[in-house]
Amino acid sequence: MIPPWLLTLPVALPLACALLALTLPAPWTGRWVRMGSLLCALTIFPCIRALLQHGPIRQNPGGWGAPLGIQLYLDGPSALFLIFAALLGVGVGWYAVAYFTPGKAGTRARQFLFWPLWFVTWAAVNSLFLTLDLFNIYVSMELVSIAGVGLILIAGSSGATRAALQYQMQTLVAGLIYLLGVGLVYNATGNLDLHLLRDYLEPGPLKNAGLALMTAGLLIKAALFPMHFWLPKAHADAPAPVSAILSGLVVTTAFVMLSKIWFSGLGVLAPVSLHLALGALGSAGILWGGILALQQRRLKRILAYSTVSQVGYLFLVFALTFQDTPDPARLWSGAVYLAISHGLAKGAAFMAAGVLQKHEGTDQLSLLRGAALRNPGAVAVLAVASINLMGLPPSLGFVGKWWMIKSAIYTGQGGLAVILLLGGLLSGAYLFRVFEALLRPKETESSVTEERPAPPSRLGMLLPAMLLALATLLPVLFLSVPNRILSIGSPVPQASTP
Amino acid sequence: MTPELLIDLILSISLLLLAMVTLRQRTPGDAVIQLMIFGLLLALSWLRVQAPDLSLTEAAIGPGVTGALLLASLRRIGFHRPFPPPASLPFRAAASLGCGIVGVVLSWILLQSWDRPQGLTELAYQHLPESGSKNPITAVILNYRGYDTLLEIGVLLVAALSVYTLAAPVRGKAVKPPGAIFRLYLRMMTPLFLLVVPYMVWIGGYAPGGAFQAGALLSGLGVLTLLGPRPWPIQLRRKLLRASLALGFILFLVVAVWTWRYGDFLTYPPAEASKWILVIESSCALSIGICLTVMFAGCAGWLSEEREGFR
Amino acid sequence: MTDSTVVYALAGIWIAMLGLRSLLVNRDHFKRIVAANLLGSGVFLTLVALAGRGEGAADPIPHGMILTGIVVAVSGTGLFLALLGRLRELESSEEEET
Repeated sequence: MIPPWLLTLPVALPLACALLALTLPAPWTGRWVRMGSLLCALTIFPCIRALLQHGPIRQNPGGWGAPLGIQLYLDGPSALFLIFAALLGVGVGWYAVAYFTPGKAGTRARQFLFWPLWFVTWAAVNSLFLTLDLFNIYVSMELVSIAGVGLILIAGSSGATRAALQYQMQTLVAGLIYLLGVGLVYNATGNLDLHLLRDYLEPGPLKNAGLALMTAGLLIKAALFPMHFWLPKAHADAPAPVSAILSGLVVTTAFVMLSKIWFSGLGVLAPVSLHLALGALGSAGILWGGILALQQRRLKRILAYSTVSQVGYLFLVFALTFQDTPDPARLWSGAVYLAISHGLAKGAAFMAAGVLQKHEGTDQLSLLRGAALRNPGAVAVLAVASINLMGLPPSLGFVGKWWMIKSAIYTGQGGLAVILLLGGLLSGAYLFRVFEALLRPKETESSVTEERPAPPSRLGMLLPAMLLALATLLPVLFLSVPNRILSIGSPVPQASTP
Repeated sequence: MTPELLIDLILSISLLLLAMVTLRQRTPGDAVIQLMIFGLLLALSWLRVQAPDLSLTEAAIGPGVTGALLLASLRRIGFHRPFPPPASLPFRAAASLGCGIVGVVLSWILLQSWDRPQGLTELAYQHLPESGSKNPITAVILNYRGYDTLLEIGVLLVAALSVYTLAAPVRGKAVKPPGAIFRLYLRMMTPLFLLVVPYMVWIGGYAPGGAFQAGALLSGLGVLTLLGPRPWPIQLRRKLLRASLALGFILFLVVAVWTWRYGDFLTYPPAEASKWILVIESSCALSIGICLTVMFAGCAGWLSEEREGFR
Repeated sequence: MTDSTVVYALAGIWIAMLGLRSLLVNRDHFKRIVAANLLGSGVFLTLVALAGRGEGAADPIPHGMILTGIVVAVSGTGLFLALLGRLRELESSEEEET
């Protein structure tokens, strides 16, 4: 017997933790945050168990059900994304406890706000993964965006403030455009529920315009090229745990929402030109992000431009689906694995970069020479994450890219396959630059060894980072498990041959 | 041409013209004032399309709260500093062309499909007796789609918290001490506000009104108090402030979890629904008012970084 | 028969487009937030007019959505303006230092 409120648990518990973190009189740090994040992560296990036993679960907060109320729906893909958010949530939480050591009095108030904002982000992301309601997606998305702006601002620098200003404007406009799209779809169909909308799939001008507007809004939110200008600045200037959340989790959610809307049925309304336009923007993002990452001199900037590039990969899936691919389920799983593995790897990479920054006092590549000797742990985490970012075997990123390249070739879109390979080469190039600097021994003992406040212990930061990095490699050994979860109630028809 | 069509035409064309005028202003101060007039007219036009609830909200939030936020931030940005020139002519022409095409397409689509209304009006009214509210909009936002509203209160809270991350290390310029007339005004208005705000919450169950309108009004009182002789302490370090910022959200979440025993999240039994809705609405009105006041203070630059840590 | 409230929907679309154009061509942050507010008002006006068409009572579901949209928009506007003011302070203090 599944309790009827089971699916609200992954939203309600992080929200409760956020409110406790905000209002409790005692400093809610250390052990308490660790406990809270662990508890939030553990709540998804009953959901997964129920999914494996009973198949997809459908629940109605408010008790009305669609079309009047809101439906939550747990299927294989959303379960994988819940696990992804939980891994990143616990990882970032444990890392941040070690990272935010009491500093100057001025920064303490801002650091205090990290906890509620981070828990709220987690709750809203879980809500996005579970909801089926177009308007609920809007509200949850705004919650993620505004919390994201607050998280960027914890850095307090003028660069971060400027980036947050740009982000806030873009996200406000994107939300309004998305909302207009939702309104048009509702007025054409009298429905906001993605599953009920499947009964209204014959093309109509209102519906088509609505889908186009929703897509446009979500593209801006995903920071897809050419809407990415705020991203590198914001992600590189924010404190490391914030970068890990933003680059790992937040950027991914807009893609997940767009694919949810398209693949649950509405995608058939999209004309071929829209598919191709998404493919073109994705390709441009891959190359542009990769080329700019090559030119950066700071480690965190390189990682942030790499996010611009990796987001591009995800959107290629829309270009690959407009023709009949022989194996749509493979292509779709490839995109899901790519999204998840990039999120985990990028989170781990930013955490490692944060450790390096704390210990070396900088993230300038030229000053990080020989850091591999002084911080072998951080560099090892970065190396494991890089395997995934480059798409080398045996990482989950490799599986995702491989399946995407295969379907690009099968559908006769060789150009996209070339771009996918080129993007891989570019990421190899910019990451090798990083390791070239980290591994090269320092020439002279320069005067950089000035007095710095004692850096926090590395272990508390490196363990969660390593866990996330390894999480991108381990599933490859038993890929049948995520494959099996993904196939439960998958919106994409399963291929007949394995 | 029927008289209705004439009124609608006049109203909508003046809205369009006012929007243009707003965007043609050369200084921030003038643009804000035009935008506030536009907001008032917008609220008026919503009465014509059977949306009295929204009209009330827009009147309170458009010219009221948004106007106050814009004016408050002008204190730091400069009232009369002229706007820099816009982008180059070819770029402007391209932007106009693009927006024009989208506008034509959307207008054509609306005219095409105007005669075929689809919606849930019937269903919403059919369940109204079980919803615990006689006002269908209150039923939608607090019962049928209460989960959305829970997250929305979260948006407001998170925005107010994010404003706190912007607190400056030194206190902003001191506010001029209020004059005698202002003090008299404040003394007269306070009881009026304290009377109208609860009424607004209560009436939401029957007629246009509700937590958002009440919260917007309350923030008006909050801003007046901040300007007054005894400004109200809004440092994040104060436990009471943090608790009242979050109160609406906390009670909403507690009610949501409490109602698990009736079935799902936020499922009220019909007999008790009106009670729960009133609890949520009154606490949310308080929190909305305080969140908006904090945002006003943030825009005006009145928040300062705390010197001591959190106890 | 098309009833007369269709003019509000059309006005809403064009107000939104005016706001969008202004957002695209202006770099001044304050002007852009004013334009974004107009874009929002236009979107809301269109949706309210759509909800009110036809005979009988207006559809309360879009009304609820718009109410939420208004509150989200005002939160976003407030945060943006606070950000803008803080940025001006940071920039002027940086200028003093250099």
